[in-house]
Amino acid sequence: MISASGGLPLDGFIVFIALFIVFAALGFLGRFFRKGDETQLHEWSLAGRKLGVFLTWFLVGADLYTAYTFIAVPSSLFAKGGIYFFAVPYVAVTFAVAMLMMPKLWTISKKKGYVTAADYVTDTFSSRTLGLLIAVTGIVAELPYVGLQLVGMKAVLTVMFPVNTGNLGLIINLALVASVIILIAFTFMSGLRGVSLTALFKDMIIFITVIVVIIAVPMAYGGFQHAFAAKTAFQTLSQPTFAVGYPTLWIGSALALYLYPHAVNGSLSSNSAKNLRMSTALLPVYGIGLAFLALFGVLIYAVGPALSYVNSFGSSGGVYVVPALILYTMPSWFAGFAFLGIFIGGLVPAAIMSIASANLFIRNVVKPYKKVPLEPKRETFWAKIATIIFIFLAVGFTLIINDTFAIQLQLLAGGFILETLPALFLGLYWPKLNKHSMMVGWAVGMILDVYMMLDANKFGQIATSFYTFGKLGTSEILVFVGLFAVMVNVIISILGTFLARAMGVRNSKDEVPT
Amino acid sequence: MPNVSTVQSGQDKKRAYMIAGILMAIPFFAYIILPVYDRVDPQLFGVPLFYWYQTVWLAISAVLFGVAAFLIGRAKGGEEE
Repeated sequence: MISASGGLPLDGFIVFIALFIVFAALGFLGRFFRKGDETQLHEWSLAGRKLGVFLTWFLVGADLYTAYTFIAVPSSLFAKGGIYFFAVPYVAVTFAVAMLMMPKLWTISKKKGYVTAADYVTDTFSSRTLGLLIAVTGIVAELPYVGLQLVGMKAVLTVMFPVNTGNLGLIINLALVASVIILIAFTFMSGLRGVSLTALFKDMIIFITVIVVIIAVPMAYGGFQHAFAAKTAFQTLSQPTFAVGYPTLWIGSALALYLYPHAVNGSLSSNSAKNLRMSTALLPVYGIGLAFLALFGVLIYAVGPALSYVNSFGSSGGVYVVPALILYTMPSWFAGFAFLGIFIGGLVPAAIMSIASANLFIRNVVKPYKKVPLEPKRETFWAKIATIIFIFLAVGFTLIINDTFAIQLQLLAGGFILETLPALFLGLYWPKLNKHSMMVGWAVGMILDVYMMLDANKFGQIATSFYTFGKLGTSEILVFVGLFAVMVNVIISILGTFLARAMGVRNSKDEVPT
Repeated sequence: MPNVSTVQSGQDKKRAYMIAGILMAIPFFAYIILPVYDRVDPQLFGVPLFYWYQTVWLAISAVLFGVAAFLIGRAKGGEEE
């Protein structure tokens, strides 16, 4: 509990810093964990494909449930209500999709030595051009995602300082850069091994935080009845406006998640297809924490001081919902503990996302077009360098542009990644898909996605990813743009394949250099 | 105790995949019936049905998926390593 001027008292800061030191130590010591030759790319970036059910669960969990998720979902729920609870069906169903796709991808990747999804696409369809498209799409979609981790981390740091602190922006940016440098140092040395140990640490802190807050706050502040009574509009979804919008949003998101490079990277670090399937199956459990955190967005309406703190930032205050609620209801040492959990909840995924993007860049953008073959050791070295560059790009990106713009880019990029679905997901079960049809499908889907997003937002600031498809009675029918665009892409890919086969065209085997 | 590594016959495998597929599809149907759970009552600890229904289904999903993963893993034996 704190005074009206705000800010985290000293004991909270001490807990935060002490735990950050433990986090960094785990990251550095991680290289000794099931030690491997870190000059090999699959050793450095996939932890040698040695993680069991338990560690894969924690690593992929830490990788998918990010600081941005923990800040943005409650923040959006706080502002817009139940529609943002779509995150819950999304994180249930996405793992069923992943169970169908990832173990299959793991098996073939282990056999053929693939490190990225684009490796798989390039080889399966004998097309380095298609591989390049998949890789570039992945990188473009990933970059704003890494940037948003820093937005989440900034929100935590902001709440830690009193409102009237001088040069607050500068202090926060310095703290961010310093922690990112530590992250880079241990990622460079320990690779995914270090990251997976810190993931375990992060997850423990987040779970304890969520469970304690979700029990303690309703008990102290008159229960959820009180919070929902203050915000009756949030008690349900405002049907029928979202009758189509809600399911299309969670279905589209559920299909998209495992197309992201960081999700593929985390999955490929498993030690067997069977263990990967089991740990993926159990990941909805992690979503329960997210569901509780989302409810913080309503709970805050019952906690007066936290609510007025958030409202003091005007319409951009939503990102402070979770940290403010914790700060204003919990003992300060506990707030320091919880804040560190969210803070490193941004660093851990940022590392995995950057590793995954770097792998795509080196293996699927640079390597296939180099005249001189890239030796494994040099490939790993360049992947490490590219990882550092990606992290710094993301930091620079968040320091330069404002948070609202970052969120808009993320909304847009979320649709892009879906356009890789035919090559990756359909391709896993139907490798005879025609590569040129998929390229056309990709291009049409991409253009459609961008155009509909812009049109839906009247060519202004991107605030919605719903497109209005006419009216049903008095209410509009909203559809998630990304899902619509990828459906068109899938149809083109399939019809094109039939057409090509009817004409006797098969994917040629000659384009890929070995 | 059945031996996990025992190779199953083609028909057993097919049946295992089918059951696993049904288990994995159940949460999808639980969430797609939006009008059924988009209500306030009954509440749980003051939380409207809309929120707690979807949260409880996360736990159920994990159990269903876990059983499905076990069935598929057993049916495949060691063939995917």
